Amino acid sequence: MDPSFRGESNLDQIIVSRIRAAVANLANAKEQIEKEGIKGDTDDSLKRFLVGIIEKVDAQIEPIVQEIQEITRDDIKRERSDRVHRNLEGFLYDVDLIRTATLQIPIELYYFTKDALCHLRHEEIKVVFIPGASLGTTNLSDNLKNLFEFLEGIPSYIDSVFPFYWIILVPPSLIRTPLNWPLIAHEIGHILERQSWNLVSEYYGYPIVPSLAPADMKSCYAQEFQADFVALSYFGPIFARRLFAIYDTGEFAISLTHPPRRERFDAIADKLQEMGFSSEATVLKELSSREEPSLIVRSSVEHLNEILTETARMLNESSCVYSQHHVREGKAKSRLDRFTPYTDDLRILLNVAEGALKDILQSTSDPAEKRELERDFDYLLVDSIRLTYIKQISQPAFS
Amino acid sequence: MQIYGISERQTNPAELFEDFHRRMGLRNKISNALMAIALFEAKAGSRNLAKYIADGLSISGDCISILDEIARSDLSYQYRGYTSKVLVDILTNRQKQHPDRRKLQAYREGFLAAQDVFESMQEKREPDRAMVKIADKVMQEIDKEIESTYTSEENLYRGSFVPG
Repeated sequence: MDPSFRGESNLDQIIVSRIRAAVANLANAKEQIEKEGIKGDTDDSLKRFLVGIIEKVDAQIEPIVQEIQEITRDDIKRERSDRVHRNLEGFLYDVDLIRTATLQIPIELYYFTKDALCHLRHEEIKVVFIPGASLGTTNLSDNLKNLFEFLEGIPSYIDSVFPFYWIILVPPSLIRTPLNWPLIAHEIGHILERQSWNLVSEYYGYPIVPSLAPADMKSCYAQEFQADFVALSYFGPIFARRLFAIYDTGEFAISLTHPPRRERFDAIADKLQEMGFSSEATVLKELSSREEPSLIVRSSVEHLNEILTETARMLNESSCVYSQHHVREGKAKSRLDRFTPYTDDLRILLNVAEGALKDILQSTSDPAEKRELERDFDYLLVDSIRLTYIKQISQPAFS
Repeated sequence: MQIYGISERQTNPAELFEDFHRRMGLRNKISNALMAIALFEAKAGSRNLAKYIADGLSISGDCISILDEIARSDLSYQYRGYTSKVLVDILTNRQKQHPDRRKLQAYREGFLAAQDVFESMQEKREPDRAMVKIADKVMQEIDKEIESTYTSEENLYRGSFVPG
């Protein structure tokens, strides 16, 4: 007979049996992960991470069970049991979410991100993509540590293996629009800051729950300006164009922790100018001239210049700042014009792709045909991304 | 809607994800503190006891200083960390209103007692029985308040991230 059906006097037995059942569920999840893997987890790091936690939980749960049996108060026994269950359930929920949600992410998005991280010389950064209502980043490791505050060894275990394992939440529209993938570089900018550079925190710290206090807003704004700076420096004008496009359509929710539109685009236009993209900078300045209310102004982030100067130094160290290559861009465009995959530099590919698509769409006035061309063009971009990645990781056959 | 921070903004999924896990983390610490009390009452030992006592002590200390600051700043209070957001939400019922002074005072007294209890435990002294009861009560009450205050967030979280 299942102990859960017995009377109140068997509370300990019921609790113990239910906790053991919850741990058994984790063991099943572990088996599933080991058997099926996780899509996009090409180095099996996420698999090792989650399996490692499950094994630790299994090894450390017994003293927690014994404690519950040893205490005399039923109300605390129930409270503790409830807490243990909710945490294990929460973890199982996260594991299932990761296992299933990653199936919706094209593998090319991972290739695209790995390519960027490789150029930025931060291949050690671990990222998993999950569909979400808007673009955002969170550290899975920190989140899991919270769930295991009741099991002493697990938070320290997480810190010892993967203190940072990033979840990037991506809206379904972004997943399906490779031309918007440069927006991921903004999230990569946040990740570099948090995991490696810590330039903003030196001046403003990182508020855990940001308030409207000027000190918190300065930190938030500095992080956002810096992330734009990284994305723009790395990807060039395509980042600015796509960010501008999504801003006005309201495709993604942009929270108050971000500077207002005008300030962001002013900063982006200044940087474009500095990078030698004068005409793009002028257009952006004109387009972004609409005034918006602002909680604080850019100039009040008094250490922003130091932060961006240091960020630029970091980027220069990896020699990955985008610059205009007319010849290479011309070659890339001519390939796209002919619907032929391009496999050299993903940044050049995406910077010329918008123009190529525009030209291709002019070939017909039929809306259905236009839609089909757009879809085929997306496939062409995704194919190009995949082939570029394969070319980079494998030995060229005819070199 | 909360006037102290920026919860009027549209919550993005990453923040929702983090908030859910932070809430679990905070409630785990409260649960650890309650376990420290229960183990003490049962005169039972555990290799985890030192951590439970430390958690009880840190929550009590944090809450006392946050509550003092809220009492001083009233409507102009700005968050400093997740626990402060939770306390403000509980004290204002997440409305644009002054914090509930009676509740604030009761919690403050409760956490002062809890601090005393956990300090005694840490120093291997016998804590005052009456104080233990107060500490137990405040921890259980805060936990229940967290549960009821964030029911909609829990539902939103489950609705926003659905495995399957």
